Amino acid sequence: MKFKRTIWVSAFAGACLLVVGLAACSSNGGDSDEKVSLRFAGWDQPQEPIMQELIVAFEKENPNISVTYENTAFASYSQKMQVQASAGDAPDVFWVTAANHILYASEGLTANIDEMLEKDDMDLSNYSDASIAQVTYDGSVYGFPRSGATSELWYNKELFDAAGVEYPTDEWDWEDMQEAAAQLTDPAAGVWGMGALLDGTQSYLNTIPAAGGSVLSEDGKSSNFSNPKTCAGVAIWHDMIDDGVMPTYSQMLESPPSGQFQSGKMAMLWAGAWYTGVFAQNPEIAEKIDVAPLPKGPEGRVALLTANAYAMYADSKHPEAAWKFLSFIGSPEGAAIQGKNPLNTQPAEEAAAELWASNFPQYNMSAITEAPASSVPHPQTKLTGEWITKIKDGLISTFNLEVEPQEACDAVSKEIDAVLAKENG
Amino acid sequence: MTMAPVRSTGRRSGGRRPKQGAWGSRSRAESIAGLLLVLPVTLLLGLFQLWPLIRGAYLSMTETGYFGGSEFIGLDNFARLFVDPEVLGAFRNSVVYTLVVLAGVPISAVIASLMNNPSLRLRPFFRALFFLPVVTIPAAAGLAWGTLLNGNYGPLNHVLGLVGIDGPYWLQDPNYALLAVAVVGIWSTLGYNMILFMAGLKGIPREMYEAAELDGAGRLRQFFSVTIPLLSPTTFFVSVTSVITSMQMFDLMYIMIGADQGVGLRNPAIEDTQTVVYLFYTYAFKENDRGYASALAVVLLLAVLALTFIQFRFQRRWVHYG
Repeated sequence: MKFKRTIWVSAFAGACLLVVGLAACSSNGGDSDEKVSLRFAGWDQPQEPIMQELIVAFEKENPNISVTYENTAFASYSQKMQVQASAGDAPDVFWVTAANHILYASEGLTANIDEMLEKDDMDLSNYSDASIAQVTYDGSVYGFPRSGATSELWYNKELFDAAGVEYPTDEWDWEDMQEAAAQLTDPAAGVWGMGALLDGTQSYLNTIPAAGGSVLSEDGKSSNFSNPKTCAGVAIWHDMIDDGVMPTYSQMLESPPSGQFQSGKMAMLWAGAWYTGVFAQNPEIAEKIDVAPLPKGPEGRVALLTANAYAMYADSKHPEAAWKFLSFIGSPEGAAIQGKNPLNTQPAEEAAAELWASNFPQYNMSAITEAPASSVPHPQTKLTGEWITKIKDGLISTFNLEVEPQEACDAVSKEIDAVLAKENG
Repeated sequence: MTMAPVRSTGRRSGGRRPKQGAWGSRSRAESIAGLLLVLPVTLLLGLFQLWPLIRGAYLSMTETGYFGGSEFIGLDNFARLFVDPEVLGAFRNSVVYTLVVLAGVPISAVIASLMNNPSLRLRPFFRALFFLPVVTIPAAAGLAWGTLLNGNYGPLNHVLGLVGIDGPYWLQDPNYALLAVAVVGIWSTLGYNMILFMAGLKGIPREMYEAAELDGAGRLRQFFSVTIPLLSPTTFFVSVTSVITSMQMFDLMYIMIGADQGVGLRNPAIEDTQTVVYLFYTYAFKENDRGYASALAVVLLLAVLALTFIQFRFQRRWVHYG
């Protein structure tokens, strides 16, 4: 009999375990009075402490809401979001990349917050119009601008001094930059005059508008990439590589330019404002460098504004709690918590941006704080992510000096049109 | 498989089988208990193996929305697959990868015979050394190999430079990238295959060699007439599993060649190198086209089934079971 009982007991235990397991997966209910837990997702490990600080400040004011931050590497962030959203299980509040904003808003992943803003009397006057435009879709607001970052020209003063070259100024144009890069390049010492990550954001997406071109036509329904003006913004990089003052695409893929710059092997680097904290905390380089505005192109100085956002899940199980948290992050109080931390990226909120820049008195921060005023937003359609990939792939050959820029631009243009046809058809 | 534990209840009734099989009235309670015991694993396997299979097959006949929702479109996805040049290229890449990995199988057999040699010193050490890659996380292995093969500062190119060869960008050059990944693929499966071959070699009876020697067979003759034929069941098993796993290769590709990895630049060799599962990943998670991606997965499943079937059909020509 003993044997029989043992079987029964263990079978019962097994079944219980299973049932408990399943129940745990689906227990998510709860009334508004009860303790509510929210999930909050982002992609930048260095900024995690800032997110934790936001959570602590928020939970102090809202003791019945607890928030957990989930970090995912940028490379897989969008995929993870897509999988979670398809399963109806997206985080309640999350970061949105500039490239995904329209996709998320139009597919009903992110919540329209117009009514909630009105109910709470939030007027968003602490954000610039340009950054609000980047969280707006079809006339409605879908979140709070998180960052409003541009790229700048960082340079290594030590290398400039050694080569006897004047530091970059506000007046620099592309020719000055190319000339200096040539003087600074020293193959014997393994020093490059110029570097930039050729992924677009910190390179040709700035030079394309500065050359008077644009990725898309004005109505956003077709490509403008084969336009010679657009292609001039690509050619400037090809030319510097061709002159031997900048590494080729393949060289930079295996030795990233930000690393070369930080090891003193690169005199100038086009880098996003989010590198400021990284450079300032690197003792190897912090004292040797400074920053200048982007050199002027044929159409003057233009920078790309990369603005990502905080948004909430439209199907959140706790919409009220999620809005409370989201509006706290977007409020001046929440923005200040982010702004005071040097590891934060350049904040979109204006007071926070000032606060953030004051972390770096050693650098010429006006180059960074004034850049958004002459910036353009990231070109966007619903399928931005797809045609951006076509551009990235299509330009590799010209950055490896295998084809002339115009040939690559023409090919890319056709690919963009194919994606847009799919989007509009 | 699920019924096996229930049958063992015969043990208690003095070795006699219950009259009505497992469902006989005398052992009914125990049968239910047994079923309850296998219920957890059955449900979990069903939930995580069988259900995704069924669901995937269904998805392959739908067009999916970006964040859920799907529409039944019959076999349209499959029609699209057959005219998609990227799909054709991915299958070609997967087959090339598989062939290179198969070419590495004899290496593991040779190492296995060396490891079985009793006069080898430090045998356990070498066995562990060859087996280590099997228990190494593919992501870590991929990163380490990526560094070794780095075109600017990699040790391999440095050594080549010493003898005057200007090494290429191994992981960016379409001529080498797939081969480079396949070499790492061989390296990472070497230990597992070695263990199988070692067991296979030990299973060959010593008398066979003695008999062959009495018949006047030399070392070489023994190798070709005794070792190879009697090792063939192991060789067959290794080649079947190698084909199945190689056709599904993803992790090394993702880490070593994968687009947008690390620095955020895309690899120019991606189209000439991507395997079927990598393309599946791109379609499903980068381009949000899960219905189409599922169709690709179904075709891969059928292809692997076909390849395995063919291998089983041909085994009687060369596999000797003692």
